[in-house]
Amino acid sequence: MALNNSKLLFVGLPNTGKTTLFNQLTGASHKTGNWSGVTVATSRQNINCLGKRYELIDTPGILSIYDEVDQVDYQLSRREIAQADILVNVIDARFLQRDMVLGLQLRFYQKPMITIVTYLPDSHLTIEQIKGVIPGVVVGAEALTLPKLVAALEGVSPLCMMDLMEWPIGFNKIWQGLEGMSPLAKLKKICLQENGDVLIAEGFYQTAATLIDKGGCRKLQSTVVNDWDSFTMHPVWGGVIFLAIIYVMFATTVNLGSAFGDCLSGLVMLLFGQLYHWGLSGVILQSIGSGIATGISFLPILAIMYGFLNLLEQSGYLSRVVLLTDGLLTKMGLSGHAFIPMILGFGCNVSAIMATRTGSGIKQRQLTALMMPFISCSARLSIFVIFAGEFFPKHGGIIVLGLYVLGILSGFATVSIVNYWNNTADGEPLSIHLPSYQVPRFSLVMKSVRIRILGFIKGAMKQIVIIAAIFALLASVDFSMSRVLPTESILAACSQTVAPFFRFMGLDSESWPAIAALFSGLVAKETVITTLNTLSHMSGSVDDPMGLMDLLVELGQRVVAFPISLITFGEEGSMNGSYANYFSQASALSYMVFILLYFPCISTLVVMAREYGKKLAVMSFIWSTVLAVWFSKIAYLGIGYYDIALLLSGFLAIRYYRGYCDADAG
Amino acid sequence: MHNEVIRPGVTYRIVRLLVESRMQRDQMIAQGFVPGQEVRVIRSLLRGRYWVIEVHGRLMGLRASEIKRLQLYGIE
Repeated sequence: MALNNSKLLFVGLPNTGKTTLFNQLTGASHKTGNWSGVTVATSRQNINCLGKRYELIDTPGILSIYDEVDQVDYQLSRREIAQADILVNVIDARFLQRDMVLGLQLRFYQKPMITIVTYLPDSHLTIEQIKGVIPGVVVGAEALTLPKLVAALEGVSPLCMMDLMEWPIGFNKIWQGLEGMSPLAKLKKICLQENGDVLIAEGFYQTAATLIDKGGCRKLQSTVVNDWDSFTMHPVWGGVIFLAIIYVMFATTVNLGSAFGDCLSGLVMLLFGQLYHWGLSGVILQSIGSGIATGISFLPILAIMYGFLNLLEQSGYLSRVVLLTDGLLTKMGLSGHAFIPMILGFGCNVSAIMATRTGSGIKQRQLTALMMPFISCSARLSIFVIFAGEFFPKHGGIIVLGLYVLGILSGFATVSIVNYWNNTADGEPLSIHLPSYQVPRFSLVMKSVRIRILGFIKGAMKQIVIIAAIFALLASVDFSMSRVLPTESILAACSQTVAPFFRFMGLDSESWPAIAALFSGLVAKETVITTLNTLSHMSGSVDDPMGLMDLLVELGQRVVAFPISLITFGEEGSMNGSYANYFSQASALSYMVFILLYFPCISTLVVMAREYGKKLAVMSFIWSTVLAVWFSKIAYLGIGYYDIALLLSGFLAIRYYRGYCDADAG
Repeated sequence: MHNEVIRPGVTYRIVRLLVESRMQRDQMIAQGFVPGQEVRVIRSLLRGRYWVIEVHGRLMGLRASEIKRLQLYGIE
């Protein structure tokens, strides 16, 4: 059977290597990882091979096809399965029986299906043995290419599974009683009957076991248990190890990332410094160059952060951290599963909100999504690294880590309040697959970092240049479009008008570039610091660029000092004065707190509105901005009686509301 | 004997699923926790608050409250 213009759907249990196989066959570079739930959306690629055209579709992993598990990624996969022409069932050779159960279920769609076996070298089986067990066309994933796959499709056809199935006694009578329905509809119907789900599951597992026994593939050795868990999940050391990993990740990102970032930025500024004699266009180009130089300084910071995150994702450690954090998250109405979107949120809040799809139940997903904008993404990290280096040179790592902790605590507080207010906790089950630990492959880590850095250059750098250009222009002309000094420009006039609203964080009309930069952050958080640098450059408040040798010497000194800074929780450095015209130390800290908490970027809001509705997105927008104002005021002025009174009245209002609701329900 | 003391290294059989909601039941069954199924307890974690058990060759992490809902019956 060879279908032209067909949809080939990669389907299987979570963490069986579907996306890795999809990347292998198509040359795509989609994210992979050693935990369940890496893929939460479909990926499509059209290919022409051996004179035929196919659409290859990668899907999120699913556990079964007939029950009512309330997960968005499951529903998405099931919709795609129903529309596919050919199913490509990806199974993990290490867990043959469990994976075969899904394969048997997929046969009830009555579609042509091919089985691809992954992780063969890690199992005790050969492809020939597995071919003797699984009905239909079976191929190994090792060295599989697109032409080989297309050639194998020649032999696929829908198989009638009812002859193979070994149902429990009495099941066939129930089955035959349901006339005029498709096999899948019958499964769904029986599943809703009393004990029907258990009868169906027994049938599938028994059939898989019988096929394995007949094929002589019964696994005799027991599962290899890795003793690493004794350390990583120790009641005391588990937490210490986790915090140490997080600390090293941030300290390396802050210290090494900023050292390389400053060097790169300096090199770019050296180039743009040559444009000084070009008149107005030279000034604007140089200002844009300042924004670009800042954007380029993000690259080492992002590369180190993404590298660490990818190491964690590949190692299998993330699933263990879900258990470690479950106790804490359960108290807030979440489960440990919410931790994985949090970790992804360190990279980008958009992917974190997408990852909430793997949560069970809409309330769980909404609660997790509400927390995500408070998780400091890599864009905000870049701002913190530069500000911390500028105003807190000896304790930059600790300041940045503190901001991350504040963001996480704000997210926890938000979820706790919403959960308490609505009494939404419905106890999501934890049961989570713990994949084997594996040594991360350096080539995969580098590939992932390269892809994400290229994505940043193509996406965010474009925004940075456009916004830097717009702000540079607005800071060069007045309302009659005549060229003026930056302090008399449109941007200065507008920013100075709203400046009184920012007194709570120590900004005044003299700090108008800092205020203008905050508004640019609505588009993307990266642009806050690039806009600030562009405007600082135009106002002439930036030091002359360093020479090439000075840059390299400083880089060398900071790299050499890095290992010591890891142990001493600080770094060598001194406060320099690029932003000293706008901020004191206290107002700089307040500014960072505001950036940490204020409204999420447009992309995050759009994804939140798409996944959970506009109401939740607007609520998140307002709430995060209110929190940002309050906390940054406290960071600048300290906590006062008004703050305590506000906190207490808020607490009492929620208690009163809950009491009223409980009484009403009673 | 139901709800017996769970010990690492022992193989048990799941007697029935004592779950509160349809969603939880579906999820447990989809993960292979089917009544009659054998599971092997590997180790407890965090002072018995979590357990690692092997089902169909896969290691699963469960809360102590969840493992009680499986009503395990020791067979080895």
